[in-house]
Amino acid sequence: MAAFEYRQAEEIRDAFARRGVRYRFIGKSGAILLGFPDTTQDADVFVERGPENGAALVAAIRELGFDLTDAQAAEILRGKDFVQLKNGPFDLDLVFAPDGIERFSEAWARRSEVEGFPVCHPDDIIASKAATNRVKDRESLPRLRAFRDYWAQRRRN
Amino acid sequence: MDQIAAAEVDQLQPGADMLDDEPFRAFDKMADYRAWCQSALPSWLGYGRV
Repeated sequence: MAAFEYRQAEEIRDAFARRGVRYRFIGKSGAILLGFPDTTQDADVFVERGPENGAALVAAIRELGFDLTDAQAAEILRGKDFVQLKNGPFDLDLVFAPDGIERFSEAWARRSEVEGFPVCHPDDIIASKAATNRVKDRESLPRLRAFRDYWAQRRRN
Repeated sequence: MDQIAAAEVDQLQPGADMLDDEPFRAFDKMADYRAWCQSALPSWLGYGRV
C-alpha cells in the first residue's frame, strides 16, 4: 500500500506545473488542501481532457515515478472517465468526468488556489460527492458543507 | 501548512488486500467505475451508492 502525504501533493503540484497540466485537486484531498480537517489515502485530480493535456499529464505522472506502460499511457490519452493508479510512489486517481460537474471549464472558472495548490471550489467538491452519493460521501457531506460555509466567510473577511 | 501536513497521515488502508490487487485500472465511464466499486469492494468501505 502506498500512503499519500502532504509532500506528495507538493510533488504533484510541481510536476504538473512543470509540464503545464491543466487540472485541479478534487475530492477529499482537495478539501484538505483548503483546510478541511480530515485524512485521506490517495490524491484525486480532475484533469482536463484533450490530447495536449493528456500528453503533458502522462509525462508528469512518469516524472513522479509512476511506472506506466505504453499501453496504460495510451489508455489515459484515449480519454477514459476515470483512471486509478497504484503503480507509483502513492495512490493517484485521475478523474476526467467527475459526477456532479458538467464541464472542466466550469470548475476551472470557479477554482481556488492555496499555497500554489490548484483546488476545485468547495461547491464543486461537494457537488461531486453529493452526485456520487456513496455511503462514505453521505457521512462526510454535512461536515464538508459546514466547512464550505466557514471557508467562504473567511474569504469575505 | 502544518494543518495540511497533519491531515494527510500515513495510515493502514482498510481493505488493502482488496484494493491493491491491480496497479492500474481505467474505466471508460464513471458509471463503470461506480458499478465496479459496488460489486467488487466490501460494503464496509463505503464505496457503494446509497
